[in-house]
Amino acid sequence: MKSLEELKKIREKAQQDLALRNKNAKIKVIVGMGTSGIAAGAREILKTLVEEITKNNLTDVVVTQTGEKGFSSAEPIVEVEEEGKEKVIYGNVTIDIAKQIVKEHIMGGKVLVQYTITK
Amino acid sequence: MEELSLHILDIVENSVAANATIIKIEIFRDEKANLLSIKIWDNGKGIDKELLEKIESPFYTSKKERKIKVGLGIPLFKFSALQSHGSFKIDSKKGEYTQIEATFQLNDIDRPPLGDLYNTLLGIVITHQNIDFEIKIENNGKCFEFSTREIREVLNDVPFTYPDVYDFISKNIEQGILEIGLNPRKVY
Repeated sequence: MKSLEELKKIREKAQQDLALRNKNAKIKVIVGMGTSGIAAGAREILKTLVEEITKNNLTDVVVTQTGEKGFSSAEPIVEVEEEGKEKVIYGNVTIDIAKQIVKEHIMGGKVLVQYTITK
Repeated sequence: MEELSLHILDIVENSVAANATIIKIEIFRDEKANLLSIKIWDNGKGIDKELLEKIESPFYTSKKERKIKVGLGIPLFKFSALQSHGSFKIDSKKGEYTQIEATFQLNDIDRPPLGDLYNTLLGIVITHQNIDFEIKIENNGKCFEFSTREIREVLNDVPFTYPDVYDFISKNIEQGILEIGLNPRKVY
C-alpha cells in the first residue's frame, strides 16, 4: 500500500484547496444500485460519474447510491439533487448520457430534458 | 449477473441499507484446491431467525413499499454458487452482524468470472466514505489487504472524490490486485 505519509501530504494540499470553496456539497448525484440497477449496468455508470466529477475537480458534488425505487424498467437511474431546485431523475442512462449529465447539467446547469423520467 | 463481482456490489448495498459501519469483504481463490470463496460480513442491524429462512427465496423482499414482493439479490447469488457446485450460507444475529459466504468450484464451466473486481471495489469504497471497509483478497497463497479506516482517519473531511485522493485509492486497489497475480479488470 502506498504510504499514509503520502496521503497526509495530499490532505494538506486538499484542505488548502477546499478552504477556498464552499465546504458543503451543493449537488448530490445518486445512482440506483439495487439488484436490477446493477444488472442493468449501474456499476459502469457510477464509475463514469465518479471519474468525470473527479477529473473536473467538482468537490462540491457528492456521488452516492440508493437501492431500488420502483423504476426498474428504466434502470440505470441517476438522480441529481440540487439545493433549492426540484430533483431531476434520469432513466436508461448510458455512459455517454452520464458524461453529458456531468458536463451539461452539473457543470452547465442545464437539465437534459430528453433523458428525464417521471414517476 | 454476468460477473460475481456484481453480486458483491449487490450484497454490499444490502449491508449499507442495514446501516453497517464496518463491512468486510474476503475473496479466497486457490487453483490447487479448485476453490473460490466470497465472504461478506457486516455489523449492520442483522436479520431475524424467521426471516433468515425466507430470505433465500426469490419471492421475498423486505421493502414495504412494494406491492409485488420480489427480491432477487440473494437468490441470484445463491443460484450462481449452487450451479457451479459450490455452497451458500447466510448467518446473522439480530443487532450484531450478518455474514454471507458463497463458495464455487473454480474450474466449473457454469461459474461466472469474478470480472471487474477493481472497479467494483473502487466504486464501493469511493461512494461510502463513512463506512470502514476491510478487504482481503487471497490468490494462490498471495494476499492483498486493504482497509479504509486509516485513510478515512488521515483524510478527515477531505472527500474521497478529491482527485489526488481518488488517485491514491484507485492505484492502491489496482496495484494490490495486480501484485497477487490477477488482472484487476478481468478476474477469472
